[in-house]
Amino acid sequence: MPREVDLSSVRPYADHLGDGLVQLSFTLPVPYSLAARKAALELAGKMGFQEPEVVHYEQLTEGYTYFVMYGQCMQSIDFTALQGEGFDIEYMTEDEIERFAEQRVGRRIVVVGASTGSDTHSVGIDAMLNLKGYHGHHGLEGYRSFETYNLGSQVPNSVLVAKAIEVGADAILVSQTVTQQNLHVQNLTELVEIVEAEGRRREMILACGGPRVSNELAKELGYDAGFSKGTYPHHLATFIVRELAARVAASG
Amino acid sequence: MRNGLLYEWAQAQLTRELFPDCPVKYMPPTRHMDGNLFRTHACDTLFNLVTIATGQGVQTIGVPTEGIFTPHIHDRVLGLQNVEYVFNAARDLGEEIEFKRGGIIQTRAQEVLAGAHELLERIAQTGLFKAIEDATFGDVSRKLDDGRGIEGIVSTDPGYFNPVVEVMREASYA
Repeated sequence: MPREVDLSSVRPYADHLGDGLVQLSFTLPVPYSLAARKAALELAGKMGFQEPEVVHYEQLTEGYTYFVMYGQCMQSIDFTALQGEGFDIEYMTEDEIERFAEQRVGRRIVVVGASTGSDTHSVGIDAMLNLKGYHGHHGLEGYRSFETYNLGSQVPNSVLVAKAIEVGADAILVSQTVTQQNLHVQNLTELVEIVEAEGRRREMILACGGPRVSNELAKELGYDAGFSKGTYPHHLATFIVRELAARVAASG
Repeated sequence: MRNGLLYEWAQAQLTRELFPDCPVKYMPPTRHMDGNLFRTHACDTLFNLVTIATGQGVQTIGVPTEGIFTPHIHDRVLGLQNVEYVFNAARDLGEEIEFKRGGIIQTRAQEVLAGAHELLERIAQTGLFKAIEDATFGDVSRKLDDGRGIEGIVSTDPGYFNPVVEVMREASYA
């Protein structure tokens, strides 16, 4: 009978609970030799792995040796302390999102996004919206269910809202990276105020993101959600389709 | 996708047959790859099989991390080893194959060809730039007169002359 997982002390699992086994591979810029193998073992030891083993090593080219290794990770994580983090929704894959949107929303979802105010950082919003996306995950432009408008960076809030109204946006995405003197807070707040002044708050989903944005902060400022580091386009897409489907169901 | 390999094979074979004198460039489906580098490596193995069996002229080699970032040194070598292994193991497979009449592969090739023909006729009506604006290619729309980098496009005077462009123009018609 298998033991129960101790969630206060979680270690990697390979074959049985608590084995802590990790597979790793890397290259050392050293010639292929027994000395190279020793170097890899020593390095793995310094990384904290117990009983490291080199299961394969080979010369990539002169002066470079590649290692495939295993080692026991002795560190553990208190998973119970992490469970309140971020979102509690089950993320869907791109295909699942497309199907969900088709069945539960039934039309293209219009999304408008930008880095607003004086903020020039567009990496985040580009990663979420542009086809290229991030780490192999398409931005929303690559989804059939979304129609996206990425206005880029340094977009005044008024311009972003005007565009959103013009295209009948279901969601506005705001990216904020600069936080000096709480500039992001002021700027994010202003957008909500403009949307409310236009009488559009109820119909639009407002989401913001950035390295210093959190879901808690976003909600405090009047947004429906906030996203931070580690967010991929399908996380955002999952949130938007679920939120919109819920609103469609509530009004329908 | 069920029978995805057969569809890939059909299209690769079709391209090869349509352009017998061209060193057709064959590229891995990086667009569908993600952070699961082990799956990518497996997909690249099948991609290499199709490449050698259909006699592609030029291949962009797939690497395990093509869906993540610019490959690390070992990713490049793993990609190359995959190619060497498959190309050697299946060297003459292409010559051994006769496609089943009316089978999945033949049918797919015929559908793709007919579809391409129909698309070209449509584009002949509307024009290529309109087709691009209409998101005909990859479901992505790009406008003729707008977009990223628009600020860098300027109109030139009738008297504009750029010696580098002239050299390049000559070279392309050489």
